[in-house]
Amino acid sequence: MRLITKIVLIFLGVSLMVFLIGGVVTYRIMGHEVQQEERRFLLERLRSTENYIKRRQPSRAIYRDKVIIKLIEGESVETKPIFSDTIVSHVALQRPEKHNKLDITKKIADRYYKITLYDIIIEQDDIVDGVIESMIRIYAILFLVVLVMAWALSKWLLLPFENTLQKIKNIDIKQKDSAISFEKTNTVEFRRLNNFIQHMSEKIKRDYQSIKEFSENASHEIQTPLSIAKGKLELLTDTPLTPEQSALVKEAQKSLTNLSKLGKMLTLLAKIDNREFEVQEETNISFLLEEIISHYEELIHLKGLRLETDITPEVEVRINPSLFEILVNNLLNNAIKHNYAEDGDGYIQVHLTKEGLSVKNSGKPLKKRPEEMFERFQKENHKTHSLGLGLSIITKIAEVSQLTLTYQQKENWHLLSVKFSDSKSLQNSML
Amino acid sequence: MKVLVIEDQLELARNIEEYLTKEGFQVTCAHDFFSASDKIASFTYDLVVLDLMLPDGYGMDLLYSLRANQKNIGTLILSAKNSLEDKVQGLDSGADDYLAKPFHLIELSSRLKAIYRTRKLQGQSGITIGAITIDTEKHEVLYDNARIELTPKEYEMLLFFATNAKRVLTKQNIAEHLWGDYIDQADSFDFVYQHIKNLRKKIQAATGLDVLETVYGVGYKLKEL
Repeated sequence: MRLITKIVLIFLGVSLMVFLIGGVVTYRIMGHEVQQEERRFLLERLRSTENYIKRRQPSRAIYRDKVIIKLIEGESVETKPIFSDTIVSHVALQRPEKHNKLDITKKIADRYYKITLYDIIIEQDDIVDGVIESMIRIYAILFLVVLVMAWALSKWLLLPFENTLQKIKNIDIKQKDSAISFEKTNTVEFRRLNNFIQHMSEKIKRDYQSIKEFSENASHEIQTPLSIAKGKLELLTDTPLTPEQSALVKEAQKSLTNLSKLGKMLTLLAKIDNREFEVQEETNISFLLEEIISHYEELIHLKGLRLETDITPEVEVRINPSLFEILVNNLLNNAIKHNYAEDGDGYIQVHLTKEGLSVKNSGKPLKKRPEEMFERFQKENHKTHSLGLGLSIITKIAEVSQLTLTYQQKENWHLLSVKFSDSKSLQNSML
Repeated sequence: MKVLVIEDQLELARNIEEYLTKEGFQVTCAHDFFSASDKIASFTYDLVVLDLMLPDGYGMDLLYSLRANQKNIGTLILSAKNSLEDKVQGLDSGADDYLAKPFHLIELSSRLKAIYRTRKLQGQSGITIGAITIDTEKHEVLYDNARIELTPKEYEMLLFFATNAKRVLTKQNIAEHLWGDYIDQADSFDFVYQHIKNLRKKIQAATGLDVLETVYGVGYKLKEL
């Protein structure tokens, strides 16, 4: 929900509460005012009734519409006007209605009269209706005004914020020298935000550069001494050696090779992490896949495995071709490595559709939980020389290429499938 | 075959020098950009082995000037950066081959010999193992003018043996030569064994000769025929 929408909703909610309370208050005040007015009116009429009595000095009771005058024989006590409510049949309306009543005993021209005056009351319901109606109208006006204002204000007030967002979107931490500059704004909060982002992005760029340089240098600096050691061992094998010595040299060479591979794979992981393979292009992966498989075909057959491929031609996916190649290499390596060893029943099935790529292979069930296998340096079998990084690389590539990776395993087969994300829905989700 | 090795790591340069000398190359070393360009200007070489990262310059620049001035020199790039861009850039700028550190010396010498064959000999002279001829231009193996049908990998393997005729090749050497980084080491040894078996069978069927011998515990070697 947009910020301005939230503010508008909260504002309208609060004003609704205020209007409800305001309605009650208005009703109270109006009710009170109306009552006062009615009583004043009755008192007015009392005065004219008194004048009437003074002039006519009636000797018997008078019953008129809304007026009753009774003569009290003998002595009595004067009272103040007493107001009360009563229900009297209304002459014009021909039905009982609520009336205000005034009772008073008064001495006029040495005689005591009991005077009762009525007048029809303005009913509470009418006041309520009036209050509610006016409140609704005012609220409707407020509602419209607020909506229009919010729309206009969000365009104008939040413009610097939108600009900043756009700038952030376009930050490329790989570009060393592109400093971002924000347009000037006189809103304090936005100015602080812009300053903060500027500092942040510069720091991120610096850190990114140093990490990148470190991983590159580390790989370089490790590979060179490894090269030297390997070379020395090779020169050693050229000298006359006993079988025991050459076996030792061979083991040492093996370990050096593993070490250098490990370094390369960790560098690769770091590079993928650093998004150095970000260039994505529409790639004909059917073609690429066929080509990679052709490198492996011989190996697979040599291992006594059956290779079944079902590749939909001309599948185009937006991906970095190098990453895709590494991905497929790792998938196939896994499928070969964790297959049955040479009993002729093993198979590898590669299936490519527009939706995804899956590699299924026969193999023994896992001893570990499948999720664990995706962590770094997890090996199913510690006797092999596997480095335990293959699945981490696959996971990492899937992560940066927006692919969905799923792993399924039944008793005697493993299935790793990669689902290509629909590029359109992806763009939408990023907005 | 005169080789200039441009490598700033002294020990590595010494390894290469020693190994290539044994292989019959005439080796000169240069340890920095300055002396390398000096040597290139003063002498002629058949082959240049070039490290891209030099203390006083970028190896790629040497390559450009080599390509501009002495077109007939075979070049091989050594790089510790096993990145694709480096490889592509190197080959694009005219290098004949690219080798990522760390490498096997035998791999380096095989590749240098291959470059030498294509550049200097224009692939003319076939390599012979007794009566078997390997035509490196047509990628064919001939015996008595009859072709021996080999798979691409078997062909590469036989060529690898032929180029390193007197050496014992370990399974590791062979695996890395044939597949590079494609497969894991543990598996590759089985594949090498299988390939050797098939290659032996095919050649034996065609010629009646067994050209390979197993050196127990070490690897394989071409028989002297």
